[in-house]
Amino acid sequence: MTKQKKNKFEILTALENIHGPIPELKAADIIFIRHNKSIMRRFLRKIIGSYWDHSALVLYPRDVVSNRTKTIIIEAKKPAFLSIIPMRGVAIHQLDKYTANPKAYDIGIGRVHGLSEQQRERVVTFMLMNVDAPYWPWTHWLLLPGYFFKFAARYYLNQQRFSCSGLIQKAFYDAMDWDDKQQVIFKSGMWSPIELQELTNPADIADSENIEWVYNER
Amino acid sequence: MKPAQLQKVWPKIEAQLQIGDILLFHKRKGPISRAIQRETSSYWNHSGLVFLRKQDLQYTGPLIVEALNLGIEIHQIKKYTDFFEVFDIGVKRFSGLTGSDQEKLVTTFILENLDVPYDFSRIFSILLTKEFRNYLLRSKFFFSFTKRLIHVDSYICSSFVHEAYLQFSKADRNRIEFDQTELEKIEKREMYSPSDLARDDAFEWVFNPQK
Repeated sequence: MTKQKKNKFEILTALENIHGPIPELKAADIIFIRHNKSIMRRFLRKIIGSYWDHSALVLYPRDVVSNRTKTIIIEAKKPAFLSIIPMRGVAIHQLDKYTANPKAYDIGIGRVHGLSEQQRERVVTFMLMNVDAPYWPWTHWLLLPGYFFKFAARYYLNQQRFSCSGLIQKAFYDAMDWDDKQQVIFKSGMWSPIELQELTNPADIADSENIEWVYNER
Repeated sequence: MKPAQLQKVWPKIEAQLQIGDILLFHKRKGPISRAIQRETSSYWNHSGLVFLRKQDLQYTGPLIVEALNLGIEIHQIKKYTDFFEVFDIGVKRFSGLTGSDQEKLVTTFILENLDVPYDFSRIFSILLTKEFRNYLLRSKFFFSFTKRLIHVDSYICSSFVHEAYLQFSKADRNRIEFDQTELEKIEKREMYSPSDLARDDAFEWVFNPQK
């Protein structure tokens, strides 16, 4: 595969060679992630009915002018099924961890309509305040019956948790002034603020009308 | 410093922390931290940098960046300060650090190096070198052994902190690197331990000075 040059200074990542260069990102843009090599993530995608199974948020976008060549993201994630590593919870990473290996990951990027700079800053601050917050996961063994039975999937999706998408929903909801909160509710239907935080999943955000896609729409 | 005393004074110190301040940690128990303290003849066994101040985050304490077993990571400082019965903490500062220097430190070094892996073989080689250099062939053999084990593109806690200051502040390099020859400078950089940070006169003590 030939490498296209993004500009004079940058080389495309492996994923950008497939989907094209990632456009200029802004703080609080939402990253959607698909894990191609995880069976549990496959079950999860089936249950939530989405191409995506994980979400993260842009903290500091790449900015060549100020010598920042990496996009920094924040995500709530449990490492791997049956991992011996303790649960990590909310952590800060480089976006490269997902764009460098297209066999293992695919990513898409969405942006909430009409956010002001101040609102973006508030979302980012909220996320930073939650660094190290523990991950409260869906129970993995329930994924299997959820994969085969609709009632089990419904039970699974209604469990209380603090997850990748729940954290993103909460960050946007808390960052907005009262009158603007409707603009950042991703889950369709009538939900209380607490339910929104606990029940929103990556599919809700990806399918929301409050999001515009800027990269690799699915 | 005793836990009760730390508990009392720390809130005041935490409010004064600046981006780029060097944090030194002493774990009161644990075989690995004890080994590092013993082999480096130092009170301290771990180090990190202040990434964001308390004022930047409103409701939580500062964020710190440190090299841990999974690589360069950002965490809340409270993972240490909530457990003073386990950890003691010291603070050093590179004097004359301007606001633009701090920003440069964050953007050009810390964020660019997030997720860089931890150099386990370096810490292993440092411990091994210090443990055995008095018994076998003295330092020459073990220095060459150590150099083979070091990965220059990954860090341990103290080499990350040291490299951060070397990278962002090239004009002040001579102040930070006090060794004479280039070879010594390179060796020093790669073998830099928390004890070196504690003893380095280029950084001033702000809180809890211990060698």
